[in-house]
Amino acid sequence: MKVLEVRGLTTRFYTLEGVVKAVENVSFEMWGGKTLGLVGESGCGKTVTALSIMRLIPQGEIVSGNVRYKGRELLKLPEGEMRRIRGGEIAMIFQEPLLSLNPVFTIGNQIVEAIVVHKRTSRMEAESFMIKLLELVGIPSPREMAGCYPHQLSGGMRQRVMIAMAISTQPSVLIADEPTTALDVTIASQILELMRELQSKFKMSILLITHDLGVIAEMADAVAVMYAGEIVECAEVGHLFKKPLHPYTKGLLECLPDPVRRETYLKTIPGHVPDLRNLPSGCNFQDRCPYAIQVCKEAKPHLVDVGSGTFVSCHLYQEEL
Amino acid sequence: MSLLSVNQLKKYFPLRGRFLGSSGYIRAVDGVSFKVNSGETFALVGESGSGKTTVGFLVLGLLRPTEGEVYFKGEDLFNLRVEEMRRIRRSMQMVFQDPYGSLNPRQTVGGMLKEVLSFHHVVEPDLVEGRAEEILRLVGLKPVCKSRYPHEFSGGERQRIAIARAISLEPELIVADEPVSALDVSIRGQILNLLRELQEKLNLAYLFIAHDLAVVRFISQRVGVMYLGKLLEVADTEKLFKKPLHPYTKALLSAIPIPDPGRRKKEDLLSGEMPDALGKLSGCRFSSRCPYVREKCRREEPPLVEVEEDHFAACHLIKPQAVDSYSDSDSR
Ligand SMILES: Nc1ncnc2c1ncn2[C@@H]1O[C@H](COP(=O)(O)OP(=O)(O)O)[C@@H](O)[C@H]1O
Ligand SMILES: Nc1ncnc2c1ncn2[C@@H]1O[C@H](COP(=O)(O)OP(=O)(O)O)[C@@H](O)[C@H]1O
Ligand SMILES: [Mg+2]
Ligand SMILES: [Mg+2]
Repeated sequence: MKVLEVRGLTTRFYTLEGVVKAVENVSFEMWGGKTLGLVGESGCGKTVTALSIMRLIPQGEIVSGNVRYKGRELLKLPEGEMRRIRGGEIAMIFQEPLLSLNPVFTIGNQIVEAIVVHKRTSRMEAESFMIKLLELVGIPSPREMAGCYPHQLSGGMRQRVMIAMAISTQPSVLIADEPTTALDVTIASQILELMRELQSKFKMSILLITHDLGVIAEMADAVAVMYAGEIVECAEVGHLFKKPLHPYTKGLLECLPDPVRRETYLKTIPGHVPDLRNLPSGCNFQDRCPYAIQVCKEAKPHLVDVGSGTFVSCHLYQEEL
Repeated sequence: MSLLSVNQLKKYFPLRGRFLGSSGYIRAVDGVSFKVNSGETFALVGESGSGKTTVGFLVLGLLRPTEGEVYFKGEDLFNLRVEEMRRIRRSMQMVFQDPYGSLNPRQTVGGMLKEVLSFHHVVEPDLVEGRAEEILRLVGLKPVCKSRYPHEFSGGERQRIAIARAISLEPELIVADEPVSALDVSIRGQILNLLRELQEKLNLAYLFIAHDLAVVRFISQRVGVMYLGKLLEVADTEKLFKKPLHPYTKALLSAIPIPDPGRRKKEDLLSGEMPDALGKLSGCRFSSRCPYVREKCRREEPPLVEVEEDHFAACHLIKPQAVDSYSDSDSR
């Protein structure tokens, strides 16, 4: 079942130095119980995409687009109804849980509060549910830990607490923005495993945002690759890794060190990402692309269906060529 | 003779405030020994808080050890007179994760290089200008960059500038603490390639601190795996990746997500987290998380011993000669 559909989402920030085209004409779909990986380098618009879905863009403007959640258009919903969706049906976790946890309340209290607000249950019921949740996310001695303040926990435990809070309302969609980026690798793999477990238990759709292609390969069913505010390729995970089509996706995959052979030289993508306030006409990747041709300088490519569920935005694949 | 030789190094930080009374010290580094040869890269890997940065600071003489010695070209770093220390420090430079924090925002890149070159009398005054340009070229920046300020550069370029400053003093050793951790993959390779290139051209040795094993594999000849202030395994990079011996190293390697959706792993993950380096630590540092733990491991700390030629490990279950003697079946 299609749970969430994003079409032509465009979000901009108006700054003294110019208009930041943070998210430009972004489209993707999320299916029940599946994980969509959203991958791209820092500053390419991943977080802004997620926040736009949640309508949490106070400093910018969602210029256009549709976000359809189970048939309802979220971008047109009254704020009151949106508040019920946010943190209720669509939950979000971030890279640094400390920033979203309140430092002066115990973690137990915060989870209880979230449950009471969204589920309208009694405090007593909420409290026993909270302990169950902490157990579910693998927090040892949950009764004692519930009395801890956020700063008393390790990064890994804090992320577990965030996950407990996120799933407390049994959301249909979980947006996880770089949930393991700040964690050590052995802890990161525990958190990813936990997310997989909870997904199969509650059949959530997960939007997993990361810059790590390894995490994508481990977790995602489908992948959307972002570059400079746009989606350049979207495909089933197996296809993307076996046969990347967009020159940027190819480049990214080639940058990864060979796991078997030790190279003497790493492949790289020359240059760096363009300034989102000052994008070139034509394709955003033209300056770094080894296959760039004249048309890439002149016209913007669009995401086209190239079969087997793969979409790519590159002049090399547009029908007329 | 090794360029750098670190001997039973310890650094305990006294605890203040809220933990007072628990024990008194954080054992950030607790008896670490290794050598770095000239022109070689020795990598230190481990989870955050394992003591890598503290080792780096001790090696550079920026912190005084609680115990132990650091020898640079045979000289005992912490028993030197001030002028001698200053002379040696020039041969040891550093590069950090965040180049922005270590660059003066109000100084042009050329100005910064020229100041370093003249202050330390690296070349004659009339050659300073030319040398600054030469160094910029070495790190892959155009000479026009001289007149620009740090904020005008991208993250990757700023790391090039930090490297330029480090090599301007013609060091023999560079301590590089997570130099590519903050960079995106497409840029990371550019900086790693540059570091390898400079190593060959200038015969540099690196003490390369990282938590990313893929990076370590590319850059280093030898690796030391740190955990809670101790080295648990030291080996040739290729050996360590092909045949890790210590259970912690094995867990660390298998936890790396592999960018191949056809090879999703299902094997056991390491449970638990690295404990605090507080209080009395008895037995093996890794015993609280080790899937093969035995009674002895909790009682007695295993020493780092050579189990194969140039392959060291600190684990009761690994016997020299019969290295494969432990497996799932005979443990627990
Ligand atoms: N409040 C804001 N004001 C101006 N620009 C912003 C704001 N928030 C984000 N941006 C810009 O939007 C772009 C996309 O940011 P983000 O979505 O956070 O990237 P990512 O999550 O992929 O690293 C960046 O160039 C960022 O600088
Ligand atoms: N100046 C300091 N004072 C007190 N504790 C410190 C200090 N520097 C580091 N530590 C502690 O020492 C341990 C090792 O830290 P560090 O060397 O930074 O580890 P790593 O670089 O491997 O992440 C950590 O527990 C850290 O909190
Ligand atoms: Mg982000
Ligand atoms: Mg460190």
